[in-house]
Amino acid sequence: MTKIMLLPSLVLIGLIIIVPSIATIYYAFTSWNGFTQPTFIGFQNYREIFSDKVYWSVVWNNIKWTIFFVTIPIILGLIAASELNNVSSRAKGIFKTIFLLPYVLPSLATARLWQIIFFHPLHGIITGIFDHDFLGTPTTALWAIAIIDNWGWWGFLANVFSAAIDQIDKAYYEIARLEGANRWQVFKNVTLPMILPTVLFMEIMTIIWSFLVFEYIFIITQGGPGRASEVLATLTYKTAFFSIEFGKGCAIATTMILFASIPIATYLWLISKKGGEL
Amino acid sequence: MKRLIFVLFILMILSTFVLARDILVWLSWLEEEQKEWLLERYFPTFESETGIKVKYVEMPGDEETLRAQLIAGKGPDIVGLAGPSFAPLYIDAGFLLPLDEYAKKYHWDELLTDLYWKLGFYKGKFWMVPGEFEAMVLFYNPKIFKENGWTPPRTIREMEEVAAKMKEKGIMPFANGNVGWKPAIEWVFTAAVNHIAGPEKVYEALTGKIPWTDPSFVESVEATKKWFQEGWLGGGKFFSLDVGEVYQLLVEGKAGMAIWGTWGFGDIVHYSKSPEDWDWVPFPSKSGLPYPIFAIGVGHCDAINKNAKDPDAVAQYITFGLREPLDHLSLFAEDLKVNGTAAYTPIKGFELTEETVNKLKELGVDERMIRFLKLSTEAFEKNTYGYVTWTFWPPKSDRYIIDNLEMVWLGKMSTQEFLEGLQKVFEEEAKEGKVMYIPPRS
Repeated sequence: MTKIMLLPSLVLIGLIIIVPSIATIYYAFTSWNGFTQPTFIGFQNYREIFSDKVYWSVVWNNIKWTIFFVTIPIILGLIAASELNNVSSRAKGIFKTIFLLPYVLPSLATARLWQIIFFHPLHGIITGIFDHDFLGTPTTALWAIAIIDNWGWWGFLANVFSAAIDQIDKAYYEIARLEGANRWQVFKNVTLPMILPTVLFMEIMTIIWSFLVFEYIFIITQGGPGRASEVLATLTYKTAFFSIEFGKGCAIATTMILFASIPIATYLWLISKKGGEL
Repeated sequence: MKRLIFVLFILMILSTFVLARDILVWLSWLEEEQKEWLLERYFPTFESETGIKVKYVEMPGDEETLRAQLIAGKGPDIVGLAGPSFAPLYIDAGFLLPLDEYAKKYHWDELLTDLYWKLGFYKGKFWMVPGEFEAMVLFYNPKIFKENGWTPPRTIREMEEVAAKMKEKGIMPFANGNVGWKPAIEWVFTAAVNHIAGPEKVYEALTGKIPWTDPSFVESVEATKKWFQEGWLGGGKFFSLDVGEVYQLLVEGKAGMAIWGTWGFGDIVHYSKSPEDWDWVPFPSKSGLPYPIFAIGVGHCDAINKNAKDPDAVAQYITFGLREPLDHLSLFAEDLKVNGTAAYTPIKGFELTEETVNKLKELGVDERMIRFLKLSTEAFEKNTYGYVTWTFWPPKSDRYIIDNLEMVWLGKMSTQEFLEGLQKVFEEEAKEGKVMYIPPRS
């Protein structure tokens, strides 16, 4: 009976995840324009991708994006969450809501707001302060988009970490205070070790999401200027839909899955090493 | 008797439903004013004349949506394609209906000019009716020019000189950017190759007689690079300036010129506050090349969905659009006012005589638009027309230009490397028969 109850979920997973995944892998070995019948071409797409320097520059962009997101938002989130621990529960509720607000805004709205208010090339506030066209300059475009994306993201992390901190037994803090620990020592020796599994989980998820990032980049620069903000997902989309090379697009997508699989494997390995839990 | 009348009445009602004819169109990319005009003027005129009802749905204008619908055996009856070079994909996939029968029935061959007629063919069959005549021109702000004693440039050198002066005065030389429409970069490429290398060279390259690495194209691409690196295009902010802001910058005098297409005629009027705040001239040519040259193109093609339930009704709709300037001059005038030159498809029998011009003026059509129609028609006759990338370059080559020209401007790719890459992609597409009809030079 239990197995039968699982059936609808399994069918859904099969249709939504497994079938498209298998199809993507199959099409990666074909030459297909999305209209006519695909032709099997073996590893030709992969040979072309791996010998293209654009592809490797795009992978490097994903790595830069990952480095940004596994550090800046996590640090900001941790600082905010630990500070929330020191305010009243009423204030905490208000701050948590404020922190979460940018995260629930649609990406399109956030992207456009930042593009117009802060990064507009002629009258953006940040453009004016630094006298620099951040989104239109290859060296700064990717970082500027990362800042826009991070505007919503760090607040979400702060909420997640705050929820984890709430689970810590308050007695640990009492003991730390009695021992004369300062705020940094409390954070370093009590808070951080206790929420480390949550932090680690969010780090791993961040790495996965960083290799799948698409929306902000596509909305704001479409990977430009000069591919300076191109990432694997935008390259996949553009190859498939703009250059009308669906087979090659699928091949890029499969490499994206491979990159994202590395942290998943690491996570599972860590879990198995720790006997089922982190 | 009563029974007979009753039966006849029922038959009449039934026949109304059975014989009622309708077509389904998609409305995409429309401004509110354009949509209103279609719904309140264009569709009703067509419906009252033919008895065919136009049903419509508002849909995104992207190709992905259209393709998904066509694969599913659905989609609009009238399939709007972004240009002839996109058609082979749809034709080879069997989504479209060959139109030879309707072309004969509704005399499209007698209506369309030679170029437009031939652009509709693929693999020996007629598949689409090209429309939306457009060309690259140079928009400028006459007030700025007048105040500074400048004259609109006729040569590339003059244009560059005036651009440098504008920059010195703190005026953005060219109101050009590509945010919101990445392909906007190909407008600059189109202007350069046609007006620096010249249409003869472009023709030779498109027909495979010379490679894209020819020195004339090197010079053209180098010129675009210079325009960007000098900080002339978008004031050096080409990659962060939104295409939607261009008209505002131009009419307000914050920018002096714009490398733009004639589709802008229909848009800029919405921003303009006085006749002095915008005008256009043919895009300047390199010394030694003819002037004016118009790099012409097709912004849209009408084809018929293979699954259209009443293809003949769709063919009538297309015919109505083609014959608009001949049969409904006032409707055509409104069309020009609302949609700019996108409303115009060159057809035989419609000549811009003094009488027609006066009538169009009386009907409120902007003189600047009429001037373009006259000059571009003359360019056809004098053989001084060029070729825009999005109509005459096959799709992958076109996309290659959009994706890689910016790398040249930013110094990440050399001009030679860029053109060698273009040659490689173009050769592959030419081998596959993806290069559409290229109108000859004589």
